[in-house]
Amino acid sequence: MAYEDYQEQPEGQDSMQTQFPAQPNWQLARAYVLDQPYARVFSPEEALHHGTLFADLVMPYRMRCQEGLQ
Amino acid sequence: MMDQKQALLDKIRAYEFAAVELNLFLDTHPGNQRAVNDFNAYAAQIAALKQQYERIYGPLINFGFGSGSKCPWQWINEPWPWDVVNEG
Repeated sequence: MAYEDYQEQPEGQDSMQTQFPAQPNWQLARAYVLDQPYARVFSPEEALHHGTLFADLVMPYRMRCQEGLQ
Repeated sequence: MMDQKQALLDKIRAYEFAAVELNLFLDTHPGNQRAVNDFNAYAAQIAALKQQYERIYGPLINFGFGSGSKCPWQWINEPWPWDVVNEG
């Protein structure tokens, strides 16, 4: 199916949009990546310990029970 | 003795990791002067650390990092660099 098939169709015409949710102005999911600043840089030893040179990228997975949550 | 050897290897590993991180950052931010400066500083530090290691403990890789080999051939001396166990 061509991209053009997804464009808005004049009212009254059958449209492929009927395959999507009823709200015609909704958009499909969009991915994005923020530009990373050169900031908050670890020392080499700290970087190896954390698995990243950048403090902003430290996002360890923790068991919920370790945070006192249920 | 072994602790200093381990510590030097750990330092080389840490600086190499930092250099790879800067490598990846610079791939997408090639104009960042501060990152380039830090990368160059780490690269120089890594080269110095490897030469220091080889001068004291023997070759890290078969060709070494510029310090060559004493006779008898040093590469076959155990333990291999990757077999040094961290007992800390």
